[in-house]
Formats: sequence, C-alpha cells, structure tokens
Amino acid sequence: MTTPARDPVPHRPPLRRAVGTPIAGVCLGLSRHLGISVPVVRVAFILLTLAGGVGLLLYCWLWVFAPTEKEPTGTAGGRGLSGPALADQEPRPQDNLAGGSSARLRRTLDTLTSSPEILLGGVLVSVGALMLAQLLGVGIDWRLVVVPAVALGGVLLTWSQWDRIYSAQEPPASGQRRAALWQVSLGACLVLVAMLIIAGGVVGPGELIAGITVGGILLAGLALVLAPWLIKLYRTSQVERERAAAEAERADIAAHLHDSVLQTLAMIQKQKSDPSEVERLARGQERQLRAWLYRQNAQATGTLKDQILAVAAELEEQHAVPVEVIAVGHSHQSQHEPLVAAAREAILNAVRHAGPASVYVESTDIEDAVFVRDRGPGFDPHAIAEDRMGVRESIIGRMNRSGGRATIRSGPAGTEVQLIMPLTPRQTGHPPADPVPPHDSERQQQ
Amino acid sequence: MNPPRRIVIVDDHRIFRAGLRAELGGSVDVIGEASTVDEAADLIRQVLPEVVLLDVHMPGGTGGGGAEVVKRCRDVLEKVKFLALSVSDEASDVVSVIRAGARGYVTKTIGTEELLAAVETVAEGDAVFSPRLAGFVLDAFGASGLVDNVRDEELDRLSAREVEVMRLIARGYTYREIASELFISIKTVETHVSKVLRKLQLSSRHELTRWAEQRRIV
Repeated sequence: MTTPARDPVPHRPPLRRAVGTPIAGVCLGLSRHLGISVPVVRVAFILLTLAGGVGLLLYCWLWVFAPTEKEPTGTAGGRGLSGPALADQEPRPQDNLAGGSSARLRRTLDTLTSSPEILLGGVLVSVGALMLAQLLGVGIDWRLVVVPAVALGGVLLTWSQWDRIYSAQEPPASGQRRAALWQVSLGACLVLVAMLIIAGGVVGPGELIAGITVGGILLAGLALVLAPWLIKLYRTSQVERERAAAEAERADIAAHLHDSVLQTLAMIQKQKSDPSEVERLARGQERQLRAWLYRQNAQATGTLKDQILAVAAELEEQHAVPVEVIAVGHSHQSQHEPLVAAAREAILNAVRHAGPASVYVESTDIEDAVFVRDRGPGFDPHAIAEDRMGVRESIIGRMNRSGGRATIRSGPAGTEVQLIMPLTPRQTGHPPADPVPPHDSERQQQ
Repeated sequence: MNPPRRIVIVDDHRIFRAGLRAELGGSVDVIGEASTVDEAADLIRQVLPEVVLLDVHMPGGTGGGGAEVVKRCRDVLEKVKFLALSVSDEASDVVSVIRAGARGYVTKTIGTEELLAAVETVAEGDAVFSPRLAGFVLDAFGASGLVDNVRDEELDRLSAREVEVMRLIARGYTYREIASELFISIKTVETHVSKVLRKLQLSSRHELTRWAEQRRIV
C-alpha cells in the first residue's frame, strides 16, 4: 500500500468542510485534507480544547474560513463541477483504518467522538465534576466557565444556521425561515449577554450603561457609513439569484424548443417539395408552441373555450387549413356538448368547402354564442338538399333539439354560421361552474 | 393616385425585415429599417415616416421593446403612426404597446393585402383592430356592453354601438362588411374603432393593466 505520505509531492484535496456531520464538518474535512483518520483529528481537537480552549478556537477559526463542499468556488462553474467537489475522496480516511489492534482502537475512538450525544455527555460530566469540586471546597470562579459557555452556545446556534442558509438549494418555507430567525436571534442574545457579563466584570454598572450608549452610537455611525455598501451587496446577491432563475428558465425553453421546434423544422426541410405538408407542419407547430408559451398556466378545464380550441386544432390538423379561434368571457354553463358538436360541424364545413375559418366564441350572462365565419363562395341555405345531413341535422337540428338556435347566413363574400345557446333559467341563478375568472368580478364593478 | 406611403420597419429579425420589405416592396416606400429601441427612436425622429411597422419585442433601451419606441416618439405621434406587428399573443404586450400610443395591432401572419390595407388605414389616422385585439377589448371591457350600474367615467366603458362593432370585428368582418351589416358608412365604423382605441389608451381602469398581466389571449 503506497501511503500518500510517501508520495514526493503529496496531492492534498483542498480543505473544505464536510456536509452532513453533527456540528460543522471541520474534523472530517481536516482529516481528508491531511490524510489522517477522523477520530485522531477529533481526539486532538478535544485534547486541545481541554488544554485551555485552544481546540475550540481552532475549530471556530476553521469553521469560519473553510468553505463547505456545497459552497460553489469561483472556478467551479468553469470546470463544470456541479456535485460535491470531494465526492471521490470519500473512502480515503478509511484506508488508514485497515488491520490491527490500532484499527480497533481507532474505530472505538471514532464511535466515541463522532456522536454529538457522547460529546454533550462529556460536557455535562465535566460540569458535574466542577460542581463536585466546588462542593469539596475548591474555589471555582463560575464566571470563567459560564460566560464562555454561553458565548459558545450563541455562536454555535448562529453559525450552524448560516451553514444551512448556504446549503439550501431552494428558498425555505416561511415556517422554517421563522425558526431560523429565532435561532439566530437567540444565539445573538446569548453572545450579547455573555459580552455584557464580561464587560460588567471589568467596569461598574454606571460606566457599563454609558459604555453601551457610546458603543451603540458608534455602531449606528458605522452602519450609516456602511449602509450603501451593504445594500448594494444585498442587491447584487438578489440579481445573482434572479439571473440563476432566468438561466434555468432559458435552459427549460431551450430543451422544449429542441424537442419540438427543431424537430419540426427538420421535418419541414425534408418535406419542402410538398407545400401543403409544410404548411400543415408549420401551423401545427405554431399552435403547439403558442399553447406552450401562453397557456402553460391555464389548466385544461374543459371550459367551452378549451373545447372549441381543441376542436379547431383537430380540424386544422386534419385539413391543413388555418382556423383562428377568439374567445370572450367564460361560460356559465357546465354542459357544452350540443354547442361544441354543432360548432365542430360548422368548422368542418368551412374548412372543407371554403378554406380558412375564423371562430368567435362569446359567453355572456344570458347565452353562449359561437360564430363560424369563412370566406368561401357561399351557398343558399334554403336550397340545402334534404339529404345534406351535415347542415340540416348536425347543426340546425342539433341546436334546436337542445333549446338553442342556429342561423346560417351565406353570400358571395362568405358564410357565417351563428350558434346560440341561451342559459336555462335554472343555470342562470347559480354561480359559474368554471373557476371564477379574474375579470368577472371586474365586469360586475362596472 | 397617391404617392406610396413612406414607412419604417422596426424588427430585430433581419430575415423578417427583408421578407416584409420584399412583400410590401412595390406598394409602399420603405425608407428605413431599425433593429433596436435606440436605433428605431433615432431613425423615426430623423426621417419622420408616415407609418412605422413595429415589433413588440426587441432589444435596447431600457428593455421596454416596442412600447418604449412609441413612448420616445410621443412628440411626433401626430405625424408618425405606429402599427404594432407581432407574433405575441400575450395580452400585456398588446396592452402596453397600444396604451403607449400605437394605432393598431396585427399579427405577423396577416396577409399582404390586409397588411397594406392596415397601413393605409393607420396612415389615415384611423385604428386597425385585428379580430384578436377586438376580442381582447371585449373581454377587458365586458362583452355584454349592457352596463347597468354605470359608475365609471365615460372612458371606462364601451357604447352599445362600439361593442357591436368590436364584436363584428372579432367575428372576422371587414370594415366594409360591418358598415353594410349595421347600415352605417365605413367612415362611421372607423370612427367607432378609433374611439375604442382612444378608450383603450386613455382609460384609467387600473384593472386593464392588471387584467392583461393575468390573462393571455389565445
């Protein structure tokens, strides 16, 4: 086994704090960086801490200055690194654990030192020992113990929250945010109390109050000077975040365009000898893209408008003739079957015999109306042969049977089929069956 | 016969500008092209065309697109008429450019004949409403037109006649057909449409903008 130490130029992974550890991941990160096993690092820290708190200071120092694995570094984007930078280094400390009684010792140490409960227990036991010592008559200045402990608790509370803020990918829920705020404020209060106690030990209460006032004034002055810079910093980070969101959206659009539009364009190039096919493809793609761009928030609710749109799209596709649909208002009825079927027949007639059709759907408080207009040569509605089932039966008959009416106006400039379905009195009294559209309330305000 | 209309084409797609120029070529006099907001505003103020064919989305300026071009040319609106020409179905696009002062809104898929007619209408100082824009107006102001409790100002509602005209436009009628349908002159139809355009531009209804943001025309 070639150990990294024997390597003439030992390749060290960068010092970055590990993620998913009980406190801040400093020990694990350091062990990866130095190539020493984790428990050893932990024990070293504990021993240093016992030796006058040096370990704690070192721990905090590393906590502040070593970035976590998840924090992006300046070059991460350029390298195309999106995952944890050190994922492949994971097994390395384990290598050193293999074999022998020292390995067992290390494993024991690891379990002992990796659990926050055991660490907490150790702290409690030492507090108990201190109390016992006091009972036995050893004079202990509690201020020396409690004050740093309180400060440390505050620091731990706040700092661990910062880490969480940075590692969060998506914005937290409001409840989480409030909890985080509480945690940070509590930590800040603890640190402040500890500071005050320390200051109170140095100067008298009167001077302390004066000092706090002076300190407050100084801080306010400092804040005034730094405010523009801080605000700018905050704004820059906002902009950064928005840019990331826009980038994500752009990627989404690019993916969609690739899936649909580019494919269609390729097909159009292959079909270029067939104009009608090209037009059909272009129309179909245009409709699809429009639906995606402008209606992605509108769920297919089965409203009259949606049903007519679907019918128009289907016929347009089948006959390679453009059908434009304009819809106004939201229907107050829930059943549109006869109206949609009749409209379908009318559009079908138009695209078959006359070419492009425009469809106007209007829903008011008293009726639903559909107008299908084309610019074909026209025909005489009264001269429709009895056997022309399409117009007589599917349009006029169907509308009459279900309580509506159909009118056909035809002339040299084109044909218009008017389909009108009054709201039945029973339905007018009820609130609209569709989800209340935003402008309905506006209309009532007029 | 009148001399051909002097027009400027503003669009950030060179291919589209070239296509439009080729399409309109013989019938109008294309005296300039621009592809960004700043370019367009400068050019228009310099050459003062009769009609500007204006795309809604384009780079430059403060990001306001076509609406910003119209706003920057506000002082020459008497001489220069804007016709918005867009592929967008977004209601907020339509509203912003019309409220900025454009005299009409048509989609880019419009036929050559219709586009020439629209240019002519706009140049005469009248408004051009596509069926879609008419549908949008009806939806925004209320299609029934039968406003019972009139509380808002004159500008915030359409007269019964204006609703009728809008409805016919939405149904795909030409001005001529509307005139014969309603037994009025074409000039009267144009007056009605211009009045609706004015209402659309001047209406203080704050709902109009909000409405447009929430809603999409399809």
